[in-house]
Amino acid sequence: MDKFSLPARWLHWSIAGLLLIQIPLAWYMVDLPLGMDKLEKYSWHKSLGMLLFALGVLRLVRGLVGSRPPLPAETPRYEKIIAKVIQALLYLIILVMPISGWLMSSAANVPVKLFSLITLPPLIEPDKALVEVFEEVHELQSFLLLTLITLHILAALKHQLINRDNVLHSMLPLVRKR
Amino acid sequence: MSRRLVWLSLLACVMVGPAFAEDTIDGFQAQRWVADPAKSRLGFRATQEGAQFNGRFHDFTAGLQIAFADGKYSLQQVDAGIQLKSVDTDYQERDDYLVQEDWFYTELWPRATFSSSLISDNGAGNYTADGTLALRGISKEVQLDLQLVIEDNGERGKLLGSASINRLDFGVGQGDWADTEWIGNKVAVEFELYLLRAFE
Repeated sequence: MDKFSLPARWLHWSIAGLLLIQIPLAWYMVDLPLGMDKLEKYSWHKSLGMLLFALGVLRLVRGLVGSRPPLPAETPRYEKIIAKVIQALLYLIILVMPISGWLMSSAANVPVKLFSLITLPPLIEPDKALVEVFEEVHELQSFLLLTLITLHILAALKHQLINRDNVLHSMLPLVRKR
Repeated sequence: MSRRLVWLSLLACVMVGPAFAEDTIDGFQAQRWVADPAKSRLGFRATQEGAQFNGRFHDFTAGLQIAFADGKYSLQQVDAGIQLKSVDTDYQERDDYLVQEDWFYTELWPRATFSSSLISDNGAGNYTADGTLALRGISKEVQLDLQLVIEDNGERGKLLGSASINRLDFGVGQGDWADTEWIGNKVAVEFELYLLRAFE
């Protein structure tokens, strides 16, 4: 299997790296008592979330217009389909989660300021009932995201350790093609 | 005159009397007006990380002294009381936090009050009210910009007002919150009072 293009790999690992910060940060911050520390962590979470959204858009555009190396020829059809579905859902959730977060902040009448620079306008009018709805939605999406990431990693490891092909290598940075 | 008629007249005076309780001296009438709690609104705008959010108090009272002379109304005095626990910023966690020690500390100071000491008439129903705001145990001078509109032949009225307050002047935001990096010092207060004539 050929390697992914450099921009594709760069995008993939930027998103992976940011999620590695974003998800534990989210778990940590929600249970903090309201205070300066919490505001600061939320602010970072929103900033990183919107950065992930921007990277997700770039990745989607690249995925739609660019070509990608095909999976090894011997890959069964159902595996190809499962991989496609999981990847499509990952794209979708990375684009949808920041929006549900933004909606949650808007409903809670809490400003969204990115990296202390850009203030995003509220998407909807403040509404206490909707805050709870979007909290639930955002949380459910986080479980879905974690499930997808787990499946994605397990699949990559299966290729590496069981199939012993170079699927994992096609996305790895700095590693030469075998 | 029969005795019954005397009693009836007396009764009438007792019942109707309060309706004319205003002091009337040489055609000058001092009237008491109050804000209709169901319709009136007392809101504020504050900033978090420089971005604006707004809130309101649901439980407050306001009263006005208005002089009526030669067919004209003029504002004499304004006073108001706010139950700080009724703060509403559309976000329960923040509302619960605002009543705590670092912010309003409602356990110790449940109410904020304003009482005007000097009202300046700027013409066309516009006034400037200098007065004292007592909030979180601190009393300080603040200035309100007001606009009074009396409607329906003196049956109803409206008082629009605004003020800019520095929350730190009143110790609202203790400890780390005295730093204005996250929550700005300036708070814009805006209110729209629907007025009713008070017959005491």
